[in-house]
This record gives sequence, structure tokens and C-alpha cells, in this order.
Amino acid sequence: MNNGQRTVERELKVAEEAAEWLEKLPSANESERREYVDWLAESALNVQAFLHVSAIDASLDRVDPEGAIEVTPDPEVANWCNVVRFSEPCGDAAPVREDYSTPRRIEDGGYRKVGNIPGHEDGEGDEDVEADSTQRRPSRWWIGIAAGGATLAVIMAGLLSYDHYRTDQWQAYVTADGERKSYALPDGSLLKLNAATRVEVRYSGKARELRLESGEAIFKVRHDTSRPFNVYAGNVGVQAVGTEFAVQRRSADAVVAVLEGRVRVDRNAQALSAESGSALPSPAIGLNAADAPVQPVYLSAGEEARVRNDGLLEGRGKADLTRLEEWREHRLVFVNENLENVIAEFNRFNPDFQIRIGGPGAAAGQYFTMSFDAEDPESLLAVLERNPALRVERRKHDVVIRAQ
Amino acid sequence: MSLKAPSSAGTFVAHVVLAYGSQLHRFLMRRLRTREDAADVAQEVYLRLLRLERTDLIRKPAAYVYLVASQVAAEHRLREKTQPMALDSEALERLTDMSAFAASEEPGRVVDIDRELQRLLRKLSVAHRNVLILRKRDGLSTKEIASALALSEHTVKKYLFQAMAQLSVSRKTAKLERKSDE
Repeated sequence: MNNGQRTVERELKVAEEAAEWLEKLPSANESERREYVDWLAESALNVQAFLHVSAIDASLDRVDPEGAIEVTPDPEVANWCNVVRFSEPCGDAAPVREDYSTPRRIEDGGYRKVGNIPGHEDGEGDEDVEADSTQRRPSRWWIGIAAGGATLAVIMAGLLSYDHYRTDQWQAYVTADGERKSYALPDGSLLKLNAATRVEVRYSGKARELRLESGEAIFKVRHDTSRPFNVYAGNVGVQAVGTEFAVQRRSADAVVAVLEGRVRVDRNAQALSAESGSALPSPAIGLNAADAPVQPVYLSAGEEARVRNDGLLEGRGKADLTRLEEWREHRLVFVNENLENVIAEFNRFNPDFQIRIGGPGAAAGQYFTMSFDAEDPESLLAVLERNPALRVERRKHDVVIRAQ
Repeated sequence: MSLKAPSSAGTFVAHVVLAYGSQLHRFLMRRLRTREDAADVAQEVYLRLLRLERTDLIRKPAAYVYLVASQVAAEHRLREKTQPMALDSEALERLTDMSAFAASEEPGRVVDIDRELQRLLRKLSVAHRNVLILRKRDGLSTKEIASALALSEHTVKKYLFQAMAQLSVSRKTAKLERKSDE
């Protein structure tokens, strides 16, 4: 047994080293990287530990999206009250991410506010939100939002209380053709819009309601038992508690696909709305709340259902998760695209990681047919670095691509 | 439609794999679920890393580890399927679609992993969990965490590495226990 204990201790030590390298590598200088390579070369166990820790790290990217885990005071740290940044009164265990005060857009860089927040002008703190985000790990998009959210919560605390947002007004989120956007909603739920989509959002004390007017959206719902999260697509109502799902509205029907968790699909949006203590303003076409007492359908992760506007459930089966994941993960797909455009696209998604083309000759004749993670410009650089015609020059604040 | 075949199978896989870096993580998650596979993959990765040119490795250390790991993974996968690798658009689709990299990992599995992780998180000490959650979930830098929790940055880092190590090792042990239960 003693032996086993010693093994575990050794494993822990190696894993700690691996975790340290994982954290350090993105900003490591050459001599540190050299050190890391030496460490790797020491033993296959080190490689294994590094892969294990990387895997843990990857799964932590998606940990607790609902923010259920509270950062509680550590009894050993006496001055927990220094934690003023989270805007919660000191004393009780303060959940860190509760105060998402305003919707934010999270594409081309800024965590910008959109729409009209009653009684509040565009905040001047926006730039601050992005500041020093280079410190943060490049991560899944919702982690990025969380990062922005935590900081934003601090900036906005006091400026804008949650009550300000609790209005009965519908607020619109819109994308044009060929455009995809992501928003963080006031409660920390996330809204990802596919191209040509319009979603209207209304948050009240009783319910979180969203109307999908056209197009397609993914909803990543933050757990809140006191206020159901309802999505209406024409006559179809979808209710979720702490889950992630997509709804696509088409002319005659709506397709609901569940990525995580479970949702309830109601073939009568008005009934769902009424149940949540509110009412849909415009009566849906063709169906009266009074008739069609159809049973709701429950879908779980990986399932999809198509519901016709008249309430008929047409198809229920396996969802095309690959397509949704691809969208969710912000994949950039290039088909025979020239280098200049590829770089421009990456720069748009990564304001803190700008790539420039140095000199007129560099981009000439370079075409790419590839698919990338939009938030991982390193993958592009890795490809460019293997290109004998190009030279990748990493500088302090940007990367320059030159002809060899 | 056929894609222009790159110079060698190696660079071809490399290109595909680089483009699919995030799926690699998911693959690792799954592949490393059994101890034999983990040791297997790690050993092979190790040997290949040793063969790599050191300067390359030093230039992009983490990327190369993932690259090599995913090459090993892809080959594993192809071996399992006993499909010969041809450099055409179909091969590309196979590589990108194949379950090793497929985004649509069985949902049940994902839930399991999440649950397991939640359980392991609960086993951490409060201090360790606080740091880990603030870093990984909320994306705070170690410096920010230090000021938030009134700790030194050194301590924050120590907790962070220890927490990661504990998760990583206890997941491995949990797997072993499950195995011996069966």
C-alpha cells in the first residue's frame, strides 16, 4: 500500500509540473520552451501527464456553464471581504457570476452592448473589458463571455442594476445574411444567432421569454428554477432549464435540436406562455390557445423534432449535432481563399492576436482550403510555418507573415 | 472533386489535424479513458517527439505535442477501421468526420464526463476549487484571482497546479477503481 501511495505522490508531482507547463507555455520565451522540451524528453510519463492534464483542461473549458458552483469563502482566508469586485455584499457566500447586467455582443472584439437599455447610455467601460484579456487562456467562446462577464459585472455594478433590465419590452437581436453573432443575456444565458435571424427577448420577474421570429439560434440556458426559459417559434414553444438547444424557424415548421440537457417542446406556444404567467402579445396564427390540448414532448440531448405550425409533430430523431457543433465552435471554413482574406477573418475574431502581412509579395499565390477553429489563430500560424514560401515572425504585439 | 494531394501523408494528416485542434482535446478525453490506451498513446507520442527536430519542437512545443498526439490518434483510428489511407476528398472527409474527431461524441458520454468532473471538483479543498473555478470557468488571470482572494499570485498558481494535478490523477484512479469493480 505504501508503495501505491508513493506512486500516487509521484504522479501528483508530475501532473503538477504538467499543469504548470500548460499554464506557462502560451507566454513562454525560448529558454522556457527549451526547458519544457527537456522536461518532456525526460520520460514518457511526463508526456502522459501532460496529455492527461491537457484533457482535464479541455473538459474544464465547459465546466459548470450554469455557474452553479459558488466560489465560497475559504475559512483560512480571513479577509474574504476584500472580494469587492463581484459586486455582491460581503459576508454571505457570494456567487461570482450572478450579475450579468447587460447583453453583450461578442464578435469582432468588443463586448459591446446592443439594443436599448432603458435609462442607460452606452457605457464607457467597454474598452476595459477587453483589456488584458491576453492574460486569459484562449478558450471556448462561452468562457470568453464569462471572462468578459465577470469583469463587466464589476464595471457595471452600481451603474445599472438588474431591475433596470426587468422590463416588459421586447428587445431585438438581429443578424444579416451571412452573419453570425453571439450575445450574453442579462442572466448569463447565451444566445448564438445564425445568419438572417431575428430573436426578441423579454425578461421579467416570472419568465425569460424569447421569440424566434426568423432564422435559427442556439440557446445556452443558465439554470434558474424561478424563471423558466421559454422560446417561441411561431406556435411552437420550447422550455428549458439549464440546457443548450437550437431552434430553427422555417416557414411552415420549427426544428428543435437539443445539444445538452433536456427540453420540453410545447406544440402550443401560447399555453406555455400563459403557464409562465405571461402572455404572448400577438396571437399566433392558425391556432387558438383554447384548442389542441396536445401533450408536450420531451427531447433530450442529441434528439431533434420538427413541429409544424399547426401543432403536428412531424419528425423526431437524431439531431445533426455535427452541424450545430461546428457552428457553436465558430469554425472558419475557407475554400480556395487567398491568404489575405484568411488572415483578415482571423483578425476579426481575435482582436488580441493580430496577424499582418509584411510586404506585397508575401500573400501572392497563397490559397487555402481548410477549416479552422476561429479562436485558434495558432493553428493557422502552424500551417503557415510549414509553408516553405513563407516566414512567420512573432513579435511582441503581433505576428508578421513575410515571403521567405 | 479532388483535393490537391500534399507532398506526403504526414503533412496531409498534419494539416487536417491542425485544423481540428479542438476536436483533438475531445479525442484525448475519450482515448485516455482507459489506462492501457493512455499509456499506449503517450508512449508512442513520446517516441515520436524524440525523433522530431528539436528546434521545431522548441519553436512550438505545445502545438507539436498535440500534433503528434493527434497523428498517433488518427493512425490508431485508421488502424481500427482497417481502412487504407488514400489522399482524396473522401479521405479528408473520413478524417474529419471520423468519430475520433467527430464533434458529435455520444451525448451520454459527455454527460458522464461532466458528472465525473463535478464529483471530482467537489472533492477538492475550497481553496483549490475557488482558484480553479475562477481561472477556468470565469477566465480570470492568476493575478486577478490573487487580488480577488487576497492571496499571493504564487499561492494562486500553486493551488491551480495542485488542483489540476489532483483532478487529473484522481480521474485516472477513479477509472482504475471502476475497472476493478467490474
